[in-house]
Amino acid sequence: MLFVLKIAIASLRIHRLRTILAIVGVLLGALCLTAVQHIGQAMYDKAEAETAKLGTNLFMARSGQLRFTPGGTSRARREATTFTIADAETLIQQLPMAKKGSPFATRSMPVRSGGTKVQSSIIGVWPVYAQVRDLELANGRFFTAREEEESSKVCVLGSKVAERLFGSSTAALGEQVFFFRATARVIGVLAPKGADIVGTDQDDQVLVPLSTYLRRFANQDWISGVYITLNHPEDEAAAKTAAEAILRQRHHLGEGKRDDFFVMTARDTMKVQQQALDLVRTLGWISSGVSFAVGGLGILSIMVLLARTRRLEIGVRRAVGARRRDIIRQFVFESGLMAVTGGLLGVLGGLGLAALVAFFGKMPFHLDLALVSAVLSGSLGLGLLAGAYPAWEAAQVEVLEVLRGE
Amino acid sequence: MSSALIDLQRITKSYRQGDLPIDVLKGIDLEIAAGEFVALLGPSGSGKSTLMHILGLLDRPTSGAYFLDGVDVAGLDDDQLSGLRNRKIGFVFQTFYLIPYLTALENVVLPGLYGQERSASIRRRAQEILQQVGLADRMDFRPSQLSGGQQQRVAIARALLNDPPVLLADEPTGQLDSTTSQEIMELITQINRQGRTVILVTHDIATAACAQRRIELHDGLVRRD
Repeated sequence: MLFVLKIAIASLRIHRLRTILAIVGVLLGALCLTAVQHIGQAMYDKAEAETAKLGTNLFMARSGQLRFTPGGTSRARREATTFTIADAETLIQQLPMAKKGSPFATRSMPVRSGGTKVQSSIIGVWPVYAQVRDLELANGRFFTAREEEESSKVCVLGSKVAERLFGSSTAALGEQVFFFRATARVIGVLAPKGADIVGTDQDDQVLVPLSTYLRRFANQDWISGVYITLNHPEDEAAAKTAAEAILRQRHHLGEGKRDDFFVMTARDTMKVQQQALDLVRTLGWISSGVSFAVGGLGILSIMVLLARTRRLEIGVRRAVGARRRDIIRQFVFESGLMAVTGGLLGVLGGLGLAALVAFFGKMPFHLDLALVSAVLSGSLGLGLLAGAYPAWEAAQVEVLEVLRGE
Repeated sequence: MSSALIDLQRITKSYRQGDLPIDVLKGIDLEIAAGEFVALLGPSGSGKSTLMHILGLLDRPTSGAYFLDGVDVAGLDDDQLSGLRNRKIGFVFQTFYLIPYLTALENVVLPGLYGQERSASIRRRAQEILQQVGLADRMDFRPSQLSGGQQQRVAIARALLNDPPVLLADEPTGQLDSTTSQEIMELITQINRQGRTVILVTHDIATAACAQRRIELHDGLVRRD
């Protein structure tokens, strides 16, 4: 066996460049497939982990219309001024599947403390928001119902905001921060959490009582929307339909008029992301399929070439006792060897690439053994397939033709 | 059926060239016993190459019977013929037919790949045979690094690997100078003395002189035996 391998390698070495090119074709296919599918899976897992972090039973109705950014996150654009606290309250009370809810109003504002200024999202919410969004405090406390009622000048900082303004979350407690001219006292700092349902970084935000936000900071009576938690995650679709009906009625939207709001769930976001990822994966399949095919053609062409230039060898082998099937076996073995070499190197490269991307993208990386073995056996299959015709051609060589110098 | 190692009965071979049938062999009757050293002589066109191909199971006769070691080869299929070639016949050619990208040892091992034997013992035997033909220090050389005589020795070693009863040598000295030719013929004679049947195809009377028996072919028939 080792000897057969040695002879195969010696034979392939005389056409080194072509052999390498054929191997590289398969290598690229395997690399592409392995890398794209692993990276895709890692992104998938990451998206899922993020959604799980939000709580899968979260539900949001928001003013304006939804736009997706190329990065896979979504943002509300063209915010309307028609969403009211009464809308939010109605949804929270009238949706039978609703558990808790909090209206919110938000806008990006500079936050200042001493000489340091950072741009951040200021969000006005009810105290219950902490439970709705499952927030944990690293330090201090969340604001109370009373503070909401009295429009108290207090705020809770996201972990990044606290760090940028004060260096640490403990140092922030009790300090004053400025929103333009208005001030608020830091009563709590959130534990780090990551990006949320619409792609905003929850660590880069400042929470204040809704009434404080509306009256003291923004001077407006409309809000951005409402977050609602559902009793059961499977209520999502029903809740969505019901919420849309209620809001259309309350906003007097007749037939044919576009919504001036949108309703989305954590799962919707995941779906959108997954659709994008599915596209990436499909493209990966296609491009690696093409690479594979090119590699296969490369192997086919080199094996045809070898079958023709090695007539002497084939003739000698036949003369010393090789049956036709031995010749076929030998050539198919050689093409399989090339393809598996390419496949193996490609898989290793692809895994390395995916591991690097996952590492730098802070994504979970799981070795997909099923995929790896599929790629390897695919490479082998390709090699055998590409070797079949040249092998057959090689087996047709007659010793006499070779001896007569034909 | 006879007890001869090789028994040819009324062997004919015709080719068609366009519409014209060409009779190359016109009825050869020949018996060769085990251990004989036979020279097949004849001018080109006499049919000696065709006869050698038939003897070597590389070609089939148009009619007639060929018994090799008691087996009627007409009834054998391509695979069985390959197997028989592998076990019963060693070939030595005028132009050596060594595979250029394999070493001497690898070339000698080739016939062993198509038997049942394990590769380790094949390799060991290949080394022994190369030693016997005087190439102990050339085993890892490629054919291009060897002289003509050395290449032919490698080819002879290859022919002997599976210890076949018959050695078929087709103009084995045709490409060699006279000194080297003599050495090669001495080697072949020695192989015959070890008990192996040798059939030498040549048009050179001097080369044929080594043989105990000379068969002259002329125009597709045995003219003198």
